[in-house]
Amino acid sequence: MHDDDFVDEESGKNKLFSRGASIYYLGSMIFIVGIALIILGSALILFFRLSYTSDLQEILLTIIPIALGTILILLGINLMMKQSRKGYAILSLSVIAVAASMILFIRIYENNWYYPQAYYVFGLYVSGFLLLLGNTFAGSILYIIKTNKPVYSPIEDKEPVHLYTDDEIQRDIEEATRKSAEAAVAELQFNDVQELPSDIIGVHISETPKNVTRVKDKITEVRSLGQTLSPGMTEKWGSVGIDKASDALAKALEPQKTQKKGFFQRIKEKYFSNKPKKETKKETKVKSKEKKTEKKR
Amino acid sequence: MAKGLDIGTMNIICAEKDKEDIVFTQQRNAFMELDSSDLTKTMLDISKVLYIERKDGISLLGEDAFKFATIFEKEARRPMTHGIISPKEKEAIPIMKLIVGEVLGQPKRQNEVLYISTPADPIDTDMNVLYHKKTMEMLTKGMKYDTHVIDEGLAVIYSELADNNFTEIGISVGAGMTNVTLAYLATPLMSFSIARGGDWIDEQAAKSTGMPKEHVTATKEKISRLGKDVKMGSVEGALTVYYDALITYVIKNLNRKLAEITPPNVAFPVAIAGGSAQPEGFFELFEKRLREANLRVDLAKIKHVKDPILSVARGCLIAARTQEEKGRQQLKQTQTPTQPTQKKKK
Repeated sequence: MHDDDFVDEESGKNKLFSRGASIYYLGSMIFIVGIALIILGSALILFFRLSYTSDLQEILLTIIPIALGTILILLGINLMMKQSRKGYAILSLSVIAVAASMILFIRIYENNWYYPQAYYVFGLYVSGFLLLLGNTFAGSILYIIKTNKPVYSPIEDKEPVHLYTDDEIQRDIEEATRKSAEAAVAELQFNDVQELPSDIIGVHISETPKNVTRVKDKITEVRSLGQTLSPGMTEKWGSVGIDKASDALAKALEPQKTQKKGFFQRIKEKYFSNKPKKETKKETKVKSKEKKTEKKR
Repeated sequence: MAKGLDIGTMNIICAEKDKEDIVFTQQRNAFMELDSSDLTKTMLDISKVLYIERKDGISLLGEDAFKFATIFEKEARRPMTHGIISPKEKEAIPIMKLIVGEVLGQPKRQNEVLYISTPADPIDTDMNVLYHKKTMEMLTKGMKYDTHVIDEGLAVIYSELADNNFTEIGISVGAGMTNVTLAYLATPLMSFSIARGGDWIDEQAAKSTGMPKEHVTATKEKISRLGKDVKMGSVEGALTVYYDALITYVIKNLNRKLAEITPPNVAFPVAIAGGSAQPEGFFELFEKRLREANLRVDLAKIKHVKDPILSVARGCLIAARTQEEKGRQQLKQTQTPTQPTQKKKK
């Protein structure tokens, strides 16, 4: 059943489309003919050098193409636009009115162009013209409204609406209440913290033996916790961190000459070590003189 | 010197560093009313009992209140219930102020850093912990401490598994509540509490056996081991059953909450602490149930905490000392001169 409906709808759409296209082509043809007629009328005005004293035939030949051309332009525009049934009825009515006015004009212009016949012709033409113009205006407005459809589209088309469950709503309310209570509690100040109730006459606490437990504990966790909470923190003493290792490495790499030697160490090195003794100033002078004399030779 | 304070439903514990040691000062969060007489006062003074004198009577505070309640077969009143200040107890805030003041002592310097533990928002009851947090914060700030608040579960994480870069699940089974926190690199990703803890176990066991709740609590604290070989109608048997029920309840809720987040793909170690995690056999039972539960995260080791009751206070102390260290470093940075200025020529 649904499938049948669908097929019918599809075929209906196709029919509408083909009819719409043919009407569109017809409309554009009529529009072009209308423009051509206006050009022709304008050319005839120039050709006949039209004036108040011009020949009646010349005036007739000039006015008819311009009047017909104007109507055909409007008719062509209307046919190019999508029309409802009412629209087509208006078009038909205006075409009939304009056609009647034109026939009457051709018949009476030469011999009977008097009041009130001339006004009937003019009235029929103007009513046909205004009907076409009004229909064009209405069609244009409808087209603009349809092309700007997203502006008027419902919100749900733009973004999916999240429907909150009762649990989520409850959780949100609880969270908001908690935050509000936390803020209120943070601002709370007790002004009687130091006071004891007035019915307390005396407090006997001075000589009470306390339950005290003493445990050997260096609580090294303090440094670990400090490092975990602030990883960038350097350790001055460096027993756990990298500082100790780097200190030890620096000491190991330190040159021996900077190490301070004790008194006994110096005596030992001077008199009992196997290392070659340092040269005295006199010895170095003698050696340099010997080198110079060798070079001269 | 920084301090950590665990404000629990049953115990208030302060932790502070003293040279190479940590000193934990502990006091019961309870009080009990007695009729006032000169004889009573003299007796209490001789016994060095902590009490306050009112116009209409005497209130014993802390551990002594608990002991006297057991002796006189009365019920010790509690300023806190289900992890927060008891709305039923009018005297709750002044009593807690005295107990906290006694445990905490005066700050050694102005604005000494103090971290206090508070429960996270419960998920199984329509209860809010905000007002409790604020009250405790203001109470300690009034004692001239620079107070910061930390979740109980996070305090367990800070205390127990530094080796894992503070990436773990911390569970604190207290008297009023059970707190759970999942943290990644010391940052909590999920924190919640359950309005069931040691007190719930006591109530259920008392109802089942017909024993007074105080008696059940005392038995629970002395119990040698949770086990299935028990005498018929004994409190121990009921305690084992309800401990198991509590553990299952906690794990079910943990799994439910894990479904709401996307935890990082790492194996999480678990640390279980708290005053109600003390009986022997509790840890083994928890581990067994955790392994059976097929949690939504991978589990690494499950750490048996050495002193479960002190773990939260220790975690608070670690947080406080870290904060203190951070403050010191920031101060140094602000004090270091930027560039030496050139001396003007004379």
